[in-house]
Amino acid sequence: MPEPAISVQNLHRSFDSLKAVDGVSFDVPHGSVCGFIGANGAGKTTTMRVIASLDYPSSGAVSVCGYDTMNQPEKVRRLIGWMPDHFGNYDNMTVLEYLDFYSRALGFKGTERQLRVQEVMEFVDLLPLADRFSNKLSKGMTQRLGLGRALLHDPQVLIMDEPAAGLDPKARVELKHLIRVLAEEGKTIFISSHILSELGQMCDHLLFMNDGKLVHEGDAESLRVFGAGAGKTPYSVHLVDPADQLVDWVAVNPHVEYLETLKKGARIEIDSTDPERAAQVLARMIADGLKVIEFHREERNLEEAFIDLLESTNKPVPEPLLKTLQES
Amino acid sequence: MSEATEEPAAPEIHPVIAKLTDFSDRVSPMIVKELRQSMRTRTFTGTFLILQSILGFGMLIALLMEGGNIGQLISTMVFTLFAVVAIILQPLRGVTAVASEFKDDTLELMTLTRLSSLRIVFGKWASIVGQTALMLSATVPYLVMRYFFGGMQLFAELSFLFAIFFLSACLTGVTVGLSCSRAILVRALVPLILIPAGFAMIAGVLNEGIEDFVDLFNFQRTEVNIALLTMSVVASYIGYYFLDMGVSRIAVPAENHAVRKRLVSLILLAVVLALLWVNPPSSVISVFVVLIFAVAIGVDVCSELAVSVPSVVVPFVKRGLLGKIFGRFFYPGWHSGFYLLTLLMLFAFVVGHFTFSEDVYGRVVRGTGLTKEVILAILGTFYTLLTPLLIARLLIKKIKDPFTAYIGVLVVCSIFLSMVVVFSELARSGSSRETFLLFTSWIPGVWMIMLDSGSLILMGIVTQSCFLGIIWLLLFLMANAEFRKTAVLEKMAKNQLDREN
Repeated sequence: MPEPAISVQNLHRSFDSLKAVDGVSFDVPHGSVCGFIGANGAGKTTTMRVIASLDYPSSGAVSVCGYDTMNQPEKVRRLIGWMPDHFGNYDNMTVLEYLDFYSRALGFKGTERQLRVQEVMEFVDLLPLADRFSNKLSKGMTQRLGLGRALLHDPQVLIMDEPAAGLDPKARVELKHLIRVLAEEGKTIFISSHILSELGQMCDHLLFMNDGKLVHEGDAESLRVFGAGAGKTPYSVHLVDPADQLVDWVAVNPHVEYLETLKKGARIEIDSTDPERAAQVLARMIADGLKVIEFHREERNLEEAFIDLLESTNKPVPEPLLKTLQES
Repeated sequence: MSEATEEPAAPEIHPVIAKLTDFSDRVSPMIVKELRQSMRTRTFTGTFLILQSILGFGMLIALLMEGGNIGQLISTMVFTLFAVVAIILQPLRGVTAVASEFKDDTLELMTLTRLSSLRIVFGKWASIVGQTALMLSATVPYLVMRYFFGGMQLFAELSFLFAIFFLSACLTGVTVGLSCSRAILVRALVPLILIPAGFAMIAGVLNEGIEDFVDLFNFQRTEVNIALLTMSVVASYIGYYFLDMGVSRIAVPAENHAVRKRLVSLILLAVVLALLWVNPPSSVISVFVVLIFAVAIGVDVCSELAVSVPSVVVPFVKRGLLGKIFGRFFYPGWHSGFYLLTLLMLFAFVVGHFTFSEDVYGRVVRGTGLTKEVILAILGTFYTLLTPLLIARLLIKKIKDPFTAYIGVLVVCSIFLSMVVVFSELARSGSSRETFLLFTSWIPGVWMIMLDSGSLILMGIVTQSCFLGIIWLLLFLMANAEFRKTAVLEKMAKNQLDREN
């Protein structure tokens, strides 16, 4: 079995009496985009810093492409690109000089260094700003510069801690586009955010952290399904005719329940999460003469699903988490 | 048909990128970065321009003046101005060198590159020293011009100027090393000490007369040459040691800097002792050198975190029992540092015993230089080094950074010591002063006052032996407890080696 790109096994990290990370285990396969979700203080950044070999575990083992982050940090550092949530830029240094310095520091020389810097500047679209001082860039441009720096050595694994935090919608869309391009190139991307909907669209796999523990693991779909009426799925059905017909139809058909009337139809619930069953119900409706013009599954909001998930652990949802989720 | 194969065209370099050719690939990336940044700062350009303006203006006035002492006046002006810049201003810039990277959250980004912590810290130092060299090169012409005013030893004066530059490089090493500490307290101490000490030193030299110091740089007397060489080695060592201490402060736990630092210290100590052996002034100087090295090593090792990563222990375990014994003195951490300091203390006694002393007829004889003063100095120095270590170990849960804890305790001890100095001066009568010093002799450093008054030396030896004995025993127990944790790492390292084999 191939080594996972990132492997975290029973990671604990304490700062005195505070358990920042408490027994977290997960694997991130090569070439996947993995989202890391949790409120501020959930332990995301600490976990990511340990993976990036910038912090060390109190106990447990963390490896990147098979290299232990504690014992072989220099090997890990050649494989990862790290983009922290906040990083300062240098005074009196232009964008070009900034990237040139990091490419020198990464061991590139001569023409190879110039080409590497050029490639990255073109990718993050910073060539027009090459002569601007790096500490005079906007937040969005600074994030691009940070991404460029993280990509200079063409890392296999990209670790991004809240890259979209503080960005305006345009910059956020642009950043999402760049991440998508990198994912298509086959890089493993490990990205944290508290904006679930964004990560839901971008990631193959999501990890949910709360209070230092991993509370759920899976894709966005698995979170939506989690606790959503125990195997039932809500659907909205719109008809050409009045909704009464549909209500009558539901009353005589098995596996379907009426929920409420809508303006031009009704909300129903099918007693399965299997899309096959939904297709059968729709086919039966049409066969029975209902003029269906719209039939769609109601997607549960990821934020709501996450809150349900946390409540299912019999713990009150922490105030900061509720706040960040509401903001997102 | 042509057989020639078409090679893919090399991608063209964008003109914006192609124009950045200010530094060769051979220059360290850190120096490139630092020079690019600092050449644009107001501190550098301002200092450079002010220095040039004052020197130029001074020369102009000197040309217009008449009199026999003009040449000497120019020399004094050149040395004073360059000394203020090189000994005070430039080293002060080092205080923020690495600290600014903490502040801007950029240090971690650098450590993720191929730049080792060693290259980062030494690069910062080299860049400041490089700028001082630029100022030196801009100052030298004024000194050469002064030659035409007559009455000048050109070689000696140039050598003196280079000696100031050398001292500046060593002091910059100290400040850059201290800038690696995250504790503001430690960094704040630097200007508080450096500015008054620097001005006092410059004033002292001016007061004595610069000519006397310039004379030393004629290099005509062997004993002076050896003394200068010894001082250069000690000053380089101190500068280097602080830099390397800074390196280990920003390094990841998997890097081992302790072995290099400690070995370099011991080798340089041997070199200095060998120099003193050739031309021995007295046993006091030799022991004093050992104690200087012990203080530098002590401040560092007493504030090191104990080794926590099995990979650091692997090279020691690989060498079997011998490696483990070596590790007892060279593993990173205060526990092995304590063992090394104990060894150095014994070594200081041996050096004291085997170096020169005066016999009853006042003749210099080899051996038994272990006088009462030397014994008190050795005991007192190690008591002063080990007491803060014990207190820092007890406080370590409250103060996370061991360096801050150690330096903080040292500062508190110094405050107590200054109070003792003041009160002991106030207690004029001999008996009350002695009683006062006896009751305060538990404060690290009070032994230095006792050393000053001959009647108290024996009492000092007794009290320092007792206190040092207690502190040593407690630390020995604590160090052994720490070594039990290291033994677990050794076991893990052994398992790792077995698996690899």
